[in-house]
Amino acid sequence: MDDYKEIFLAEANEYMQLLNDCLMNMEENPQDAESLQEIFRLVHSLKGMAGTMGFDLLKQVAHDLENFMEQFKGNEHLLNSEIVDFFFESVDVFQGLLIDPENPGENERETAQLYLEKISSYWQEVLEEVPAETETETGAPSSEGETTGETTAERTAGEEEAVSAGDEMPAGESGVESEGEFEGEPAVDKREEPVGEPAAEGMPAAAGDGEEEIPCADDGEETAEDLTIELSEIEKEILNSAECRGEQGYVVKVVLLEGAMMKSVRSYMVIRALEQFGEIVTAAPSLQDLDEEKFDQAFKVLVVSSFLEPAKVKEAILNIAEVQQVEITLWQDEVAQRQEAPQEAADTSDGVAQAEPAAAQDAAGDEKAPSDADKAVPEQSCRQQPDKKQTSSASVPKVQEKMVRVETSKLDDLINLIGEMVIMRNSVMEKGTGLSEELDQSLDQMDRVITELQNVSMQLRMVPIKQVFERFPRMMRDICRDRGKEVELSISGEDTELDRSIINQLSDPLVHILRNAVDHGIEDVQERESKGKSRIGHISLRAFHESNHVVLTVEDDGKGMDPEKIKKAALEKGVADEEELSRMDEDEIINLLFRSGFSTAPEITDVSGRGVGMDAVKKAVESMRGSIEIKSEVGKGSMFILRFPLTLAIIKALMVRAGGYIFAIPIESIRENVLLQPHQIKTIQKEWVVNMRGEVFSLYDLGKLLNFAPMDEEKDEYNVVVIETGQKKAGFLVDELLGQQEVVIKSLGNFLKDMKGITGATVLGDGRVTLIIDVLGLLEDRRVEVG
Amino acid sequence: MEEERIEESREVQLVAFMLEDEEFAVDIHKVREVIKLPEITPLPRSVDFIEGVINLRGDIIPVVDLCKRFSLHRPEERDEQSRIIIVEIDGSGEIGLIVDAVSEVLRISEDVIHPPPTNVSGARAELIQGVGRLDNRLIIILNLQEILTSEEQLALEEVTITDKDTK
Repeated sequence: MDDYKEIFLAEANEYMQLLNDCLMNMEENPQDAESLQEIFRLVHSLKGMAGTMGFDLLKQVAHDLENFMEQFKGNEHLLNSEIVDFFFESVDVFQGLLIDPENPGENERETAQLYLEKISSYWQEVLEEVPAETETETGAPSSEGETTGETTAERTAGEEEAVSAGDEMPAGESGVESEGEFEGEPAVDKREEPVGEPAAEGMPAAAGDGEEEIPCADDGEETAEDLTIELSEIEKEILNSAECRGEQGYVVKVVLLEGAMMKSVRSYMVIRALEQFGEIVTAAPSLQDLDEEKFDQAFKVLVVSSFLEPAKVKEAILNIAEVQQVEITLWQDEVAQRQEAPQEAADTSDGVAQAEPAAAQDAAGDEKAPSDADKAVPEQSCRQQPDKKQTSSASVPKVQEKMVRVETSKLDDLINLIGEMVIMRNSVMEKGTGLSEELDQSLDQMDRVITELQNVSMQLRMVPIKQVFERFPRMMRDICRDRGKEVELSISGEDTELDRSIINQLSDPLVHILRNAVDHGIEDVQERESKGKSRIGHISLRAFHESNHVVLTVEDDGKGMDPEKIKKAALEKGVADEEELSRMDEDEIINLLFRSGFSTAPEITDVSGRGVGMDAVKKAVESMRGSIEIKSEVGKGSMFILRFPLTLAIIKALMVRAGGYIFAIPIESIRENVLLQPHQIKTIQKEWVVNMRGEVFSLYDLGKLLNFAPMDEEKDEYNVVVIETGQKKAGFLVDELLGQQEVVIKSLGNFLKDMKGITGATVLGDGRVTLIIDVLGLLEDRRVEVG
Repeated sequence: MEEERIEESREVQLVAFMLEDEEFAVDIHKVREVIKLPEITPLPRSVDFIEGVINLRGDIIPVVDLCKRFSLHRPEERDEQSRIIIVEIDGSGEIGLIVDAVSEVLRISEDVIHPPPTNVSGARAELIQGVGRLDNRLIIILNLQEILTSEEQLALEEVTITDKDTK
């Protein structure tokens, strides 16, 4: 079940995000019926998921909230910002419970209980407000809500489907994607099954010549029972040999409750249970389809066993949640029955009877079918009507096919292997080129394909920054509330893509910067008004590409940073001394904020100043090979600028030889390569410096800097790689320049991750490991050494 | 490690190897593979017993010179017999151990494994999990977890910085 828990958590967290989004919409427009519907749908799904997983408290909260929301259907005019706030609160409650849904902590439990109480007290208030006529219209749910029994919950669930189906497709793709997997609503699998299967494969509706018949492909006949087990040759063989051993085949038919959630889990559990009784031969729908939830309420499993005690089997299977009914028949009987009158096998279960004709209709792939079917099917199933319409509108399955959920570790493996192949390619090309014309041609083609593959694999690593940004509106709302400030957050460029490993670590530094902007940047309302600024503060978060980098900026229109104050604070705190400060320009002074031990906040507030200062932000950014700087103007606002490399996986590097070994220097930190004559190199306080076009900077022997062999002989000319990174500039003397190369960055692993001056390693075409120089780290370390 | 000792008279399987003329061993469950010495890329400014890094099918793995780690005198040259034992360090990844020769796979009873005496070849006791007695042989069983402790690394990093300062 742990696997499922993980999926559950992933889904639930996505739901939280969607909930927040919808609520943000509602906050602007509290009476937005569409958002309400979406929220309703999300809460409903969450309830279902939590119920299946047995997370009772979570389910309870979702359930009550759902019923509460029900009141506002058609009564949207009753919604106001207070109620929206109340909904917002629910997200926090949910998130609290999601920390450990199985066993929520004391605090979380308490909050949830409080919330439940709040719901019921709110409920009374709202009930009083609801006009009498509308209440009778929506009569059923409101009266049910109060009783809050299990059965009523089930029933309301059915009805809610009908309502929520109206705006079935949620805005975010993630929502769509998730549904197929998780939400076991009948509506969903019908969509997936008939349209996805027969239609996609272009099979005629009346299947049956396949090895295993696809369920529901029986065309629109009234047979609810189309779970025909067709045996392949191998399976027949298994059955025959079993019969020779005196064993018998049994058909176990299992019917799940209508609207069962996570049917694949149930079917899996059923099959696991059956394995204890005998050997599973096959199932209808196939085991794979069961696994992928491509079935309605019922499925059959063929088991061979020497003796199967029906009562025991039934007991075992009925023990599994959401199993409505179990039937066991002998295989021979099943075969005989089928030959006599296939349609008589129709099940008595309501669930199957009503769900399947509808599905079968859709299976025909006929656009008109659903409307006809709607008239034909029994009244109860009318609820599902909107779903079916959705089904035929073809756009749904397309969306589903567009996205596949893959474990990130698998993706990483793939990308790593491709990286390996790129390296191997270099080696093969080196050895193979020129041996024969034919080989050369093949190598050429291989080269192209691999290059293409590499590009594609790089794309796999890229994810839109939206993932990080989407949390912020809600977060800002809370912070502003808390601090009593009014701030409008505008976001742009959220589709900008960045390497996944950067995205994952980006959130914390950005949160910190945003909090700081609210706390220290934006002024109070009164202050703003007295300065003639707009009442509402403005923070804009932008992402965009700039040559080889992705740039993120956080800009506020607050009070800005005063270099004089910073100077003073820096002196007080001993972050910098008088002499150093005198040499700095304003920008440099402002960027002193990033030094450790610096915090200008006069008070420690709840949001900022929790001990993590800007130096931590800087460190985090730099660990992602990014850079950060501040621009600020007193009275007008400040801007934080973060720059990140496009990708972390492959970089262009200049290969050099120094100290007897080959090193890679990232091109992004190199300004130029020059040849210097000995007389151009001067010595100041035992350090080499050079004056180039009016700029004076230090020179270092790279080999010596790395503690390898220093350059020994006197040369006529020195190869110098001029480095420029951040505000630092220096020259590295190297023995030899070996040219540019694209290198795949590999981590040095846990043991060596803190190595100064080395960011990672790469493997050359011949399999040798080459270290990649971290220019900034090396220069900073150098400072320690000198100072 | 610890729990193995608690359960009595269990057999453990060890990969035995030689460093100079002493016999060492590591738990076979921690051994990923044994390879011949590939080219080793030295790391700048690292502690001296870290010989460098190697490429093991695309993974970069640090290798430790066990002779240096144990402050043994290194034999003049590494030869045909020299091997790298790739071992798994719980929770941290893999490292390679350079040894003079891999001798055999041993099965010995836990009963004959004793806690380390305080001065085995002058090496530090925490590197040693125990000493096994097999007939007349003494086999030093390594505590892999301590081979590359961060504490050790930190201490040595400081040393390197002070070294430079004095230059």
